Amino acid sequence: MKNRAIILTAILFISLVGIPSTYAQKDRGISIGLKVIGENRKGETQNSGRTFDSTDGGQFGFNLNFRKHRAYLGASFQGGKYKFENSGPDIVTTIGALPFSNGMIKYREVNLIAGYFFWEHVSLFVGVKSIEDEWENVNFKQSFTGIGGGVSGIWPINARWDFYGSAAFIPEGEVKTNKAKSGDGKSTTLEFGTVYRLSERDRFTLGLKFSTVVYAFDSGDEQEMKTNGLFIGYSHYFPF
Amino acid sequence: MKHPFFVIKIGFFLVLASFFFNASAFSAQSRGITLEKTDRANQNRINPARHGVYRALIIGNNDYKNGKTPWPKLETALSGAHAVKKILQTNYGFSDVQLLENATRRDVLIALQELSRRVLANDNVLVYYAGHGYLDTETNKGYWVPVDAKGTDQTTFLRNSTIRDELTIIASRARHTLLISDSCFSGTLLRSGSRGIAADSGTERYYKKVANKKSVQIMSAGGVEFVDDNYNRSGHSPFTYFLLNELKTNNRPLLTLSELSSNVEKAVANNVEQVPESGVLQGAGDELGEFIFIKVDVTVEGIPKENIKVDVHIIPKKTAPEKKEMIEPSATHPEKETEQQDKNHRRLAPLPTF
Repeated sequence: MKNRAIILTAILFISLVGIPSTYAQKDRGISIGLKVIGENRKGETQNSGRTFDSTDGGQFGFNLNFRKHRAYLGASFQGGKYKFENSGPDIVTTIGALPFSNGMIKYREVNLIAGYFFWEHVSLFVGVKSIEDEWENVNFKQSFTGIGGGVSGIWPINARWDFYGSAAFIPEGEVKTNKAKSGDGKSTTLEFGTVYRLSERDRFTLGLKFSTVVYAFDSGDEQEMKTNGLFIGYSHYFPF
Repeated sequence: MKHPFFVIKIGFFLVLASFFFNASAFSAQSRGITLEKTDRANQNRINPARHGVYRALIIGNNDYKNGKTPWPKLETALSGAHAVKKILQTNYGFSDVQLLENATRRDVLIALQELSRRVLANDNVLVYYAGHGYLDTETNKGYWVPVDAKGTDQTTFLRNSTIRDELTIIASRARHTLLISDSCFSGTLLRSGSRGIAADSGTERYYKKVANKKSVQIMSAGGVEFVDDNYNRSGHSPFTYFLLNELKTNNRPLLTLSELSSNVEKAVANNVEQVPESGVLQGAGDELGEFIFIKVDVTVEGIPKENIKVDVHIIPKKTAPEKKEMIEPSATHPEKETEQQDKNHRRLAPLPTF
């Protein structure tokens, strides 16, 4: 899975850099962005029937986005901690699901994305998503890595405001428990919001993100994790 | 969703930080048009109304399909349209220019509708028409006559009210909208007389004032009268001839429509039996602003030409040769990325996430 992801990303990067463009000198640059996400994580482990719901937490993200004419290549990194006071997500092992409560879970997420605006306002993208949850004080890690695609669009509302949205789907990914393969998974994400253009290079974003990852363990357990939240971001564009 | 305070706290910090970093951008935007001397480069810098793209739709109708009465072929409408296109692009930084040659009724309507969709706030839009015009003397309604007009069947013409409606849509989005009509009876498009030239015309304060106010103006070749086709075998109608002449000989960095029309009206009236008119399009949101032509290649007394820089935001066209031609005037622009600001808003699209 890792090798496939690396090869796919390399192909995407080479094809992106190689795309001929008459705008090469005019429409190329990198934007750097920061994002704060106030999220709630909740879900259910099927066999045990236990549900979970975070009581505190949030994420901080950073992203780099290289653009050349209609094409873009980006990487985003985000992470945070979630507190579960009463009911936390089960620790799913090969012998069954163990309950977890009154603890913290560290969350890390990396996205690598390559996309192209096939239409004036709409782009299609492919990429790799990798997320990891680490149950604090339990020595338990659970990760999901998958390749998928999606569609995103941006529509101007007026000179200052844009509306944008994106939907992504990973049909199949690899689930690992403490770095050993333990199952498969899939992921869907929907994000939409507004962009406020502060200047030609600066923008604010404000929006909502809804993400669901379903872990299907080889043991037969299935765990669904929903991460829904409000985010605010700022980014700056560096043309070159 | 449960923890909005975390977002609000950090978001507030980001907003403050951003305002700090962008303080200079804000101050520049609030100035509108300025003529200032920069110490660093010893350059006069003309900063027009920010973010406004200059767009034009130019229509020239020579080859009327009937070819005889009532709509004989014209000699100069098309050459006039080409000349207007060239001077707007070359001398006045119009970056989005569409030329319609021998346009049918449908061509004109589609082009106007497409233009209205392209227009963004703060844009400056000019529509130029050269071709036959028609006046129904019973109803006193005026029309543009497209090349596919059928005799005197008015349903095949473009009624002034239709043109006015399309312009009103464009004007609702743009900062400045100007219609220049070089046809017979084009004065019937007007609903009020010339506003004249203000006492403080030509001052920085004046330009600043009129640039920031919305304008929807019309300049016509004549009132309710026939107009000439070929002036002194120049290849242009008298109106377009003197319009081009004024635009060519103008050496001021900023030229308002009132200033331009005043000179053109005098020149035309002094040479032919025709009196151009100008005014506003009633009911389209005119706030006594002025369409301002910004001359790209200006001279300023006492300042060497190489030390003058005109700051015009230009969106390059998609075809390579035209793009080069249009970018040339702003070759000294320090921030070329601003030329594509609105058209390429997609570059500001947030990175999607999985």
